[in-house]
Amino acid sequence: MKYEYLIDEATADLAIKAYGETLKEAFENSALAVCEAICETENIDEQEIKLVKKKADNLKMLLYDFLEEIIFLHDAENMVFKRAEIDEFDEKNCFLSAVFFGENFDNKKHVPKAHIKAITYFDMGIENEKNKAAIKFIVDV
Amino acid sequence: MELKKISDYEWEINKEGKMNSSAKIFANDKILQAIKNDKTLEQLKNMASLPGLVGNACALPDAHQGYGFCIGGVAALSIKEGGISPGGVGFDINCGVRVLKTNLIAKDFLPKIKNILGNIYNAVPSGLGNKGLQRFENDEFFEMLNKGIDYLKIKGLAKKNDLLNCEDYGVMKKASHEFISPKALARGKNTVGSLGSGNHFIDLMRVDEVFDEKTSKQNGLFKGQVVVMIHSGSRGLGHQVASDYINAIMRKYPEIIKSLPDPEICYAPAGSKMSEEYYASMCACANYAYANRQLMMNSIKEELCKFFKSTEESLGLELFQDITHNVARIESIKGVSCYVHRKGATKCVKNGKIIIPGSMGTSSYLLLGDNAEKSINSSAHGSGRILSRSRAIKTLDSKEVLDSLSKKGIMVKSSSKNIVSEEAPAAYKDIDDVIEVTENSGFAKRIAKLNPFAVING
Repeated sequence: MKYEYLIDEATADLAIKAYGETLKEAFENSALAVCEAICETENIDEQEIKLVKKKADNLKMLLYDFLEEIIFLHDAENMVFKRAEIDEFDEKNCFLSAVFFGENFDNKKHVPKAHIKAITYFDMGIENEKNKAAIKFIVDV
Repeated sequence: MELKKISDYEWEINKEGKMNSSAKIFANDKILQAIKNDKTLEQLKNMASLPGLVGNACALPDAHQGYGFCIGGVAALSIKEGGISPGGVGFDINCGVRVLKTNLIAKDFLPKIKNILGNIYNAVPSGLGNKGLQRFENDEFFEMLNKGIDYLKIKGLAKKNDLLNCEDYGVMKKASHEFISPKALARGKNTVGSLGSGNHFIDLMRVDEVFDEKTSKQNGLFKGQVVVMIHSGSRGLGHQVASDYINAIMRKYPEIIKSLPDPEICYAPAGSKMSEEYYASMCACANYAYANRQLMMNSIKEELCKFFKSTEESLGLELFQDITHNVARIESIKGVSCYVHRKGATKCVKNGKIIIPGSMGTSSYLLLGDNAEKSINSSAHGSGRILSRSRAIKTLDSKEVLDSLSKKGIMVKSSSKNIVSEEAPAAYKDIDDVIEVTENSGFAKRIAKLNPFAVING
């Protein structure tokens, strides 16, 4: 399982748990969960890419900044994304460089789901063990 | 956690652990059970642990779990010994509600409702990927952020009555766009005059019951009257400002973060440059939201005038009231100047008009403030969720929800079927319980009850 939406964890918001064999993969799957929460990814074509580089004080802030970019690009540039690929992930220095793949939102083509206002730190958790990583976070809807 | 019963409508969590004061919950038995089902009380205790707290941290009858502060949560923090918490205001800064009056009679209106609803839905941008009603150049946009509805009045987009019936008269005067990031400005600039999504709505409603004839008459309300309710906020601008400042506080004050049970409750300390910059930015977002609702109201007025081939004056199109329920203001509490954080809570003062919306299938209420000193001059802002959004999508079929609303004579237009399930009446507490607690606590008195007959969900 790449991610799941946790049913009763957040009353007004959306709780997400994402998994991966590595922390990098769990970050990518967290992004996928956010993309899918905004708009059904099935109909999104990879027509445009957006490059992001993020450096933060700790891993939680790195996750926050990384995921926030999806929301920002959606609001400011009307983009919806199918997936994210992290090409550089420096866990120790809390740095990542990634590419988002997607296109402009078209209400005739795409199926909108939720408008996400923000990522939150409430109940955010990052578990990183050998061959197994999991990330839990709540987005404000 | 032990709860002490003070009365049938008031409960208390005694001061314990890191709490600076006891915390109050205003609820009846039924509401209290719902509140206990999520992390509301834990969040309320966290609020009570903030420094410079004046009075109690309060949870109102619509309280439910949020992040940082609970929704329906109020806390006053001294401007000298406390601070201001972006998570205590919420991401949707100045999310609020306004009611537009008409002199149209519901029974004459209903046969035409499908067309009218369609026209309004097409005229007011809603849902994802939509742009706003109004394009601004940068300098105009900044003027609007700094002056709110005052600026729209200069542009001929607001009247004196709109200012008089808006909280803060439509402008929070400490606003400045200067401390808002380019990212936040980019998120907000193109969406001025758009509804958004989630729980934002435009409801066409009928005044079904009048409880206070005198006040209703004074305010131009009468039984059978059509009114329009608009619920929206500061869109991506407010969301990004909150996000930016939460992160900035986390970077600048790691020692504060370490001392807090939840980073989302973090605050900019009183007197710091950051507290002043956040407050000025928050005020600018509040001004944006006031303007946002004003522009949407103008567009609805225009559609009604076109449809009825009439004028605003002839149709009696006038703002009843606009109120915010996600903001912090500097107010005097027990003689102390405080940042009063109301997150999903309405300012409630003697004879101030209050709007408490229900869900899309239930009643909403117009009230007049009375004595809400116990709740830091605050009342509920809605019914408050009981089902999580995910649970609602999983258990409430959108078609069944629409069929059930249709049987009640309520037509719905929505940009997403998920939203119909998420915002279904069953996802919310019973509004009548919320009103019962509000009235019996002496906070406010009902003026009139409204029922929806046509709903646009964002």
